[in-house]
Amino acid sequence: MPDRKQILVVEDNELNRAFLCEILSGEYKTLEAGDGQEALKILAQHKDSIALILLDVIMPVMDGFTFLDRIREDDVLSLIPVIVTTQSDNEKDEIAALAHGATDYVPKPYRPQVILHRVASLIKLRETAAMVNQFQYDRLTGLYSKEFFYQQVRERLADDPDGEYCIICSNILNFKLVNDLYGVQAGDQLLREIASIAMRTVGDTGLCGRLSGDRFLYFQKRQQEQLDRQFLGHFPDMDVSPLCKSVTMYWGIYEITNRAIPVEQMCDRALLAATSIKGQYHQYFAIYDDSLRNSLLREQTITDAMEAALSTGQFMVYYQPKYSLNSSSLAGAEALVRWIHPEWGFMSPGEFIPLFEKNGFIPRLDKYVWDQVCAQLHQWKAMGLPLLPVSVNVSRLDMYQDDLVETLQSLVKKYDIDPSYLHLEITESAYTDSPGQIVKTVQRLREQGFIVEMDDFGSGYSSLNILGQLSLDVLKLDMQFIQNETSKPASQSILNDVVSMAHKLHLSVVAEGVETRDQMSRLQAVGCDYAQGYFFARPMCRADFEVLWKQAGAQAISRVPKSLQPENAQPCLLIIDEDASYRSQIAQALTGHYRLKEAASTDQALAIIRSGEISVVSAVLLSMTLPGGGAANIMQALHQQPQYWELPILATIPDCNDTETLPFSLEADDTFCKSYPLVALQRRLTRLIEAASFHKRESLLQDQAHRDQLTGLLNRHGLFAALSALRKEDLPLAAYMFDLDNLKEVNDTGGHHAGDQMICIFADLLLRSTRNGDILCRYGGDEFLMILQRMTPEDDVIRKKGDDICLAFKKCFASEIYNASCSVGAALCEADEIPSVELIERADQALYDAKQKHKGHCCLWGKD
Amino acid sequence: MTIQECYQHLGGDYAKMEQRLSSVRLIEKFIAKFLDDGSYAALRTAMEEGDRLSAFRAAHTLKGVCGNLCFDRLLISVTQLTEHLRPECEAIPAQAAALWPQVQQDYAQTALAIHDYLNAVQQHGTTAPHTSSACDADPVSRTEEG
Repeated sequence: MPDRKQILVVEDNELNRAFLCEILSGEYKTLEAGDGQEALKILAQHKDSIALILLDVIMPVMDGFTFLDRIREDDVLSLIPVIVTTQSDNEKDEIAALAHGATDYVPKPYRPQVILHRVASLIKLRETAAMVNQFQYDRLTGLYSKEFFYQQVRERLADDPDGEYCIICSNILNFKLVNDLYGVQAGDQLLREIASIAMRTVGDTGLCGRLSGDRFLYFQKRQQEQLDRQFLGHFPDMDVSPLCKSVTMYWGIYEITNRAIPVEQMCDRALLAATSIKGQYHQYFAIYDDSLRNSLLREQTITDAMEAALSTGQFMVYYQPKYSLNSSSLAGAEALVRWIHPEWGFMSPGEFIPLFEKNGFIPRLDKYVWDQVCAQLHQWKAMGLPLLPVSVNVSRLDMYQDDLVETLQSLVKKYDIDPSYLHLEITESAYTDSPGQIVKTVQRLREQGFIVEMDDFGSGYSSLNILGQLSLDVLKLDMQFIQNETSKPASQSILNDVVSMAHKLHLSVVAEGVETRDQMSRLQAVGCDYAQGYFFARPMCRADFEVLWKQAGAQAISRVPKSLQPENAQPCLLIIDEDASYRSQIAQALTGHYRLKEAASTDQALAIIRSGEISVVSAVLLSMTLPGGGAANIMQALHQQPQYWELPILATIPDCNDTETLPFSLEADDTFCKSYPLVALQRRLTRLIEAASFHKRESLLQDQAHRDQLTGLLNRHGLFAALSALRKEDLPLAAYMFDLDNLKEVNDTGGHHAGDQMICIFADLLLRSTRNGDILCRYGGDEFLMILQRMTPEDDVIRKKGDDICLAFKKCFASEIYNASCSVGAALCEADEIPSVELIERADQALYDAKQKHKGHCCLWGKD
Repeated sequence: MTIQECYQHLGGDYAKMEQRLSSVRLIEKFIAKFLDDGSYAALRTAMEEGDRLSAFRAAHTLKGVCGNLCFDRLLISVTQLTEHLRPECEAIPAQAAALWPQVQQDYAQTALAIHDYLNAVQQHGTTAPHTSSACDADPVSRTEEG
């Protein structure tokens, strides 16, 4: 039962006082005073607990009127309602009592029902008023409450229809830190102090309110607000507490231009402007404008679409290959999420990932990607491909999920994957946020067999201390760090030191964002183990990655740096020979120079090839005298798999004049006679492996020389090489010359980064719109050539393909601030023609027509 | 003597009183207090000393007490006396002086009726029989009441 309210009964006659108290005693507690002075004494002690005063007028010592005058002088006492008891026939007393501040009166004699009713009504009225007061003012700061602030702004605007006003919202940077460091009381004191400064600054002409926490609202004349901006940020020159001086504030300003917008929304906009600069040093205020609004609307649109995108499979996993810098072989891949929206097209991950990190969606998306990657690893395993590790991103928010380790464990279990094939890239910033927890989680993940990579090393406030605290497997150097360090002279770069340090800590080093040959050479020179970046390959869809994988062969990325692996310091040699004594002689002669794998029979050798173990082999020593034509079978098995085409095979024959085995040996890369001294064998093997490695690099460099660095598409050299490789069965061809209509405008308004992004998006669109074998080339700055093989030679089909790409490109930028469009000219090369430069010229002429007459569409040469 | 008879003797309105205080015990308590109330004594002293202001204040208080206890007969004479004493003047107005014996008589009758009732209660050792159900529900002795 709640405490009963307390009433002070002031009446000089004891019997009457007792009578009143008796009436009230059923519902209230009572305090008694015999005159005004006694009543004042009681009030001094109990003023906070007295709900109402019942007061007689005629009393000795101090009468009722004097008492009323005295309590009116006190702010707190004057709030207590007073009922004066008067003689029923004395109207003069009633009027006098009300004039002295009494709230109401009751006539004598005392009638219980009347008194109880009147008392209850007044107490309720007072409580309601107190509640209204509480709603109007913020208890901590004394500023207007949010709701009352809104109401006051509405009234001010209505009173001054032509006035120019603005609403400002302020936040304190890291206020939670203030509470954490100095305690909640100090935080409250800081808020009160800032409220007081705000009231002084705004003065009588403006309004101040508290929105919530450390967020305050101000309503000011626009001109005054502009004057006050000099105080924005912090209060270094003001007479304030040291704590107040040390805090930084940031402000969002909404200039009221459209009064039709509800005040609540105006305040929201001011808050959004403030939030938009959170964390930007030395920027203290932001003004809400259309671009901010558009960007927020865009964010909202993306947020609204993300759930559906996840459930309808709009998120795709792309794989960006990682290469070993020692062997130039494919070593793994990073799984990257791509969002292909059915209407908006390709969504930039640079846009949606930070947003998902902000709105908390990223853990769900990450889980989806992890699942997809594990499913893919399972599928590759089932297909018999030698497995490559794939790294996935583990966001900062993921690290706070209690069930992170269990989630990952259950995934590898569900798909029957060795956890060492799922590399986890944990961003460096996660370590700085919550080092204790991260250390424990990483430890648990490693105990379960996962390989942990520290992502983005060098991007933020990298602490070397972290490397000592955490047990990691791989250090992944940030793209920007790579680009900065490789642009410096070697003597000034710390790249070498970072890589050496990582190696001393037994960490492999992966460089990301490698874009040029120079960068690759520098990384190789400092002993970096692996690299990924556009120089090697762009992120690609699963199918393209599989093609690349099969062609390139692979050597899995390792948790221990290559240079620290004794077995990797030496190349591996596979000896396939039926003669055990010869194998033994070779083993003796080559120990210390090669790691040896041996196969005594054709079956054993084929088993090694099929199991994928051969992927680590640098050369094969193959006996031509294996029973049952085994050598031919083995060579055939190797030739069937493109990834082993570059593997050098040294054929061993008993005698150089042996006419039976010699012809077979000509299929191999070289021949060695078993009767020769084994020292010669070693020299021959070294030369063979070096030649193969040189050839591999040469093809790689040749491929790189044929590709455009930004998009990964063919450049003109590559185009002509590809054209010359076309076969008759690839005809008929359709050549499309595209031109991005407004790249220059985008470069001018959004900078070259925005322009490059547009080019990459278009290149990606072409990749998604074509089949393997089709030719894609970046022909010039904003010109692209697409040659489709085995094309149906019908005008409408050719035109539609071009139009479809133009439309899809436009949709990619539908919600961007700038419009994007492209025009295309197409030309057909019939089945009986010979594809030549003329075909490209025709497509170019058609493009000219499209730009003149049908901008944004496709024109067909000789038809439109 | 019952409490109703008491009210009859003192010229009061018991039915009205019963509406104000719902138990006989409480009514008994307050009419007993009336005998100890100092306002009549103060009035008498002021009347004898010719102190109009003090007499007015005391009559005013007594009027309030009578009103609360529904002692109508005394209330009528005290109310008249109060009004005769209200106008500011040096001495006791003649009208008031003329009315004073009536007030004394009414007070005496009231006090006597209360005494008789309280004596009857004391003799019975318990609250006097009462027709009201409230009385049956509240059979508290004066001794217990303290």
